[in-house]
Amino acid sequence: MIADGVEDEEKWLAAGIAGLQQNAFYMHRALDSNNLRDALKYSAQMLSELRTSRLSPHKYYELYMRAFDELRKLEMFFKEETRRGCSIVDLYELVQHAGNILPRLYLLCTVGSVYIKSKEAPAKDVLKDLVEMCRGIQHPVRGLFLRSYLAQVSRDKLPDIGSEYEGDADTVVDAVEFVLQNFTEMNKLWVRMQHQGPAREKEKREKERSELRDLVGKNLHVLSQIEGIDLDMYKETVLPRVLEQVVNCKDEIAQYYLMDCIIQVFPDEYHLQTLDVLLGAFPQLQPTVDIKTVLSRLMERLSNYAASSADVLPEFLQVEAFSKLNNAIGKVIEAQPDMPILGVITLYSSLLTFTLHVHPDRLDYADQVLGACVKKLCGKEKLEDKKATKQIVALLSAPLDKYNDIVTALKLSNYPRVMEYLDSETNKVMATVIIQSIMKNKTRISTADRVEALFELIKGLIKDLDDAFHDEVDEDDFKEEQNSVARLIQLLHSDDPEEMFKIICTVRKHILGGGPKRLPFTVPPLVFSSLKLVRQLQGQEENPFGEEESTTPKKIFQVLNQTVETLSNIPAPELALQLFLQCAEAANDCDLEPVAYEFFTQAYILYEEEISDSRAQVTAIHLIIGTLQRMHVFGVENRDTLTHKATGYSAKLLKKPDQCRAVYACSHLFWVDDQDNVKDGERVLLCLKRALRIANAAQQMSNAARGSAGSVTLFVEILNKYLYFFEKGNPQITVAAIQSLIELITTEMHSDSSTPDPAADAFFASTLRYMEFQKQKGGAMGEKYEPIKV
Amino acid sequence: MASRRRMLLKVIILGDSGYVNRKFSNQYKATIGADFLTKEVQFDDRLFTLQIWDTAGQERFQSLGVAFYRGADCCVLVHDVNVMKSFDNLNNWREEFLIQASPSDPENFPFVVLGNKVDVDGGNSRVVSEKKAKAWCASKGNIPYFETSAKEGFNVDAAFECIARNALKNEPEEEM
Amino acid sequence: MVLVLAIGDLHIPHRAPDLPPKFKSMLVPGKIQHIICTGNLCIKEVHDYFKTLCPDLHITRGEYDEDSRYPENKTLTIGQFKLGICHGHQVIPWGDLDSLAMVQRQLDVDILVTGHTHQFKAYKHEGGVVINPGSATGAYSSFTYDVNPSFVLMDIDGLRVVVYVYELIDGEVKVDKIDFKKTATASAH
Repeated sequence: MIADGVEDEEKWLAAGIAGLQQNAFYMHRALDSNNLRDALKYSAQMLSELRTSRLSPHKYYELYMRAFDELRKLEMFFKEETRRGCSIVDLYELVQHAGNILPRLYLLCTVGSVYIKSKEAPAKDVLKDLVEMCRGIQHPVRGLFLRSYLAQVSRDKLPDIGSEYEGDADTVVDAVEFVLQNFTEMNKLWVRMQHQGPAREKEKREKERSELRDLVGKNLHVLSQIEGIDLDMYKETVLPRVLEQVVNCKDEIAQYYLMDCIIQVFPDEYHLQTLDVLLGAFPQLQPTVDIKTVLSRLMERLSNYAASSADVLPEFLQVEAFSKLNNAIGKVIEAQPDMPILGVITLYSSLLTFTLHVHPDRLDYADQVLGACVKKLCGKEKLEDKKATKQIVALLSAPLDKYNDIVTALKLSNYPRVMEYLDSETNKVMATVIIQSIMKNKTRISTADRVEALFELIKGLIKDLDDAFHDEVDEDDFKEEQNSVARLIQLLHSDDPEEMFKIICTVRKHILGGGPKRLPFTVPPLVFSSLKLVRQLQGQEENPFGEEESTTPKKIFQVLNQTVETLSNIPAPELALQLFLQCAEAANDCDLEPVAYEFFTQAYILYEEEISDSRAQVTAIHLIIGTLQRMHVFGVENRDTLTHKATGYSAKLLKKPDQCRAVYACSHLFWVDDQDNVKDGERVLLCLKRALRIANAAQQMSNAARGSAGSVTLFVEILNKYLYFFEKGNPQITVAAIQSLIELITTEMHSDSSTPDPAADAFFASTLRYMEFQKQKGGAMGEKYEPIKV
Repeated sequence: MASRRRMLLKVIILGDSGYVNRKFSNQYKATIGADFLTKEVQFDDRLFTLQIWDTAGQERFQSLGVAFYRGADCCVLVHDVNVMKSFDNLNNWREEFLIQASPSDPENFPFVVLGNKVDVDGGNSRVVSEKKAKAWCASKGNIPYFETSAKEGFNVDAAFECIARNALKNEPEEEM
Repeated sequence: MVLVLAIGDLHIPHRAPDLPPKFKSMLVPGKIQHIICTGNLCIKEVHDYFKTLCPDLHITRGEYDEDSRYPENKTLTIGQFKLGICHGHQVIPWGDLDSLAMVQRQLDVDILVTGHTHQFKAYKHEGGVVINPGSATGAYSSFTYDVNPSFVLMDIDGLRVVVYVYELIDGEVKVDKIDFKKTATASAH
């Protein structure tokens, strides 16, 4: 339902339009028949509709625009009349006989426009007369529209430089004077509205004022477009006069709006050159004016200006823009002790952006701004206001974006201090921003000190910051966070091994405080960084005169051992086992037998005591066997111990097929190609035979359980292993053994109780094909295979 | 006949950025409220005065609304050929105009579309092709299309002659 | 012409932060019909990334993979070729060609794609072709000291497959190619 008031307004507007149109119709008739008298009569009647008090500005504007359109036709008529011999001076006088003052003044302005164009009088005289005559209307809405009409029709007739209305007597000074006067009067009318009417209608009045504001602001735009106003005139006349009006009107709405207009319509160079004056106005404004927003907008404009071209930067330095703005902000904040924290941060954020654009090399300035922010934040609780924390993230992101380099940002001593005031949620957000910046710019963090500083900053991600209960963290978010930390660790690197080791230790120190949920993410990357360092050191010769303190692989392994151990307790035994084996291999490459043995021991303990899931056991066994198979550093005793245990584990796996496979894999432990002393044909065969027994047992179990034999796949696999060692020249693998295995498989496959298994069939077939192929090869291999019947 | 009144034609220019030259034309522009210029155009041996209204483009400097659309004889939709968004918004501007101005015959109200700033960067930063723009114009009732560079003055006169001709065709109702 | 991307052992984020940018810019969605991944991605993000390149994604489990549900091995048919995938940490000795050939026979495939060693390999034996695309990130490997980031693109056309290997060496992407032709009778049963 439309409110009653609005409904009435619609009615009044409709009535006004009807009246206007009717008189316009008669006016047109008069114009067509060159009837000046009637034209004036009906136009005056038409304009009387504008005398209404019943319309809000928005609606009044509709009526006004219709009148405006009609007056254009009237103006053309007046021009033609003067060509037909009517004197413009007479006309100017004639229209003043109109009964009511408002129509009279509209007509006067319209004639005035023609008068100026005729050049029968200096533009400035006519303009002056008009702007003063308009004083006759003191009603704010009507007066504003009337003066707006005056501004519109005079717009292209100002005696500006280069205009046809410029003369000896008329100069741009007069143009400026005219506009300033109109502006001043309009502002007074506008401000007066604030206090007219009862207090309970204040909101309505302010809304109406808001609708009218552009009529006042327009004058400033007109000023900005006057060609003849150069910097000097702006500085000497225009700005001071405008500011005088703004300050003296003591009206909050006008002050806020007009300061904003000034900043938006005049060019950046002018603002820079009048910074003192402009900033000087702020403390004189009403205390309730939202200065921080205006100031922020000013700084934003200037920042963009600075960013647009390096050529303009010297100007900023010359006018000492930074210190002026810095002081102005300081004063504003001081003057408004109750300014909400969001406001303070917004101001400093804008100032920081400004500083980064104008003085990119002055880290001390940037630091100063952050320091001022810290001062204002200190003594306050951690920020709760969401908008404020968002603004702080923007504040802290600005140096990252500008320098593309966290290292530079780390040089800002106040940077971490600002972060202290973030609640843990926001700290994490900021930490993520920092990490993303590093990843995007591929920043290398190459000293332990910087790593230390960095991890201090991102500690929200590294550990739980507060002991207080915090909301459930989303699983996926947590993973993402920790993965980003893991990626970060990859980027921490120094080519100098000593420094790299320090980095590793620094990182380690921090991540160990992360708790059980974080370690599985953060430990692996650290381990691999360390292993890379080991490799790097391997390449270097051992320096016999090296200092006690210098980094050696042994030292690194020590640290690694303790680091990986932390995973066993979490529990993350599978991961720990894998990492221990990686370390063992690395130790192997360094010829550090005891170290390698120690790592294997750790892995085995984990296997025996912590890994109980059968699938996990299978994987673990494969890794153990695979790793052990490649170790060359072990002496016979150690090797035997480890191998024996590995085969033991293999045979005890839960499922028979897994047992079988693990056991025949162990056969490779006894035969390593490039180590002649590890070619124990007998023990290879023992493994294979054991595997066969297990396969047999599996078949029997299957028979018992299901009444049919299981698949022959295992046998085919074992056959392939026989062939493998046969080809390697293990004398224990005989043709006979192979032959009988082939027969066994064939029999099993064709037996009634067998379950058809096409995959196994195909496997067997391709194995046979392989043997045939080897036969065809000829040479030594062909000879070997010759006796086997396929 | 209402011949005198037909010599004054009201034209509204709409689009994401202002069209008419300003003093600091390379700079960030802020126009407050709507503004008009008059431009004289001669064709068919007659002199026409175009009253060209250019809008602020920025919502916050248009506090009184758009009543000035009313009574327009022609509406010019401008886009920057180097900015796809400004082309995408043409449809919004056209619809907004038809709603606010409420012409008596919206189906046949004369529009003209200008693709501006064709001179920028030697044409290398252009993203809206002539073909694409013309296709849109055709789909909206065969709106005439011109490529211009207001800064260079390229094709501006031809465009405005067309605008004037189309405005003339728009016979206003004699309201009583 | 069917393009198959063979890629694996990225070890993100344990051993590498990301794919090399030069590789990333080469791998664009819509160009590849299938992706074969040997494993050790290790996180879901990498899985999702591959999915954006091509929805037909086949992965086998590496020992560090976050998702333990990936299969130990997988087979699929593309055109005239049967392909098998297996990460390789299960095949002992690691990287041993004969042992891998056994897996190939067992899976009954023309092309076996395997990883774990981070060493690019493409070789033909009587049973077919074994391809190891290496590590796409050049991740640390206990197996070899010399790891350049690499991946493989297979162009399968009828009975012929052209294997393109892309290697990042000293900051430049080098391409090599190897041709394999399958005889029609090779795997007739």
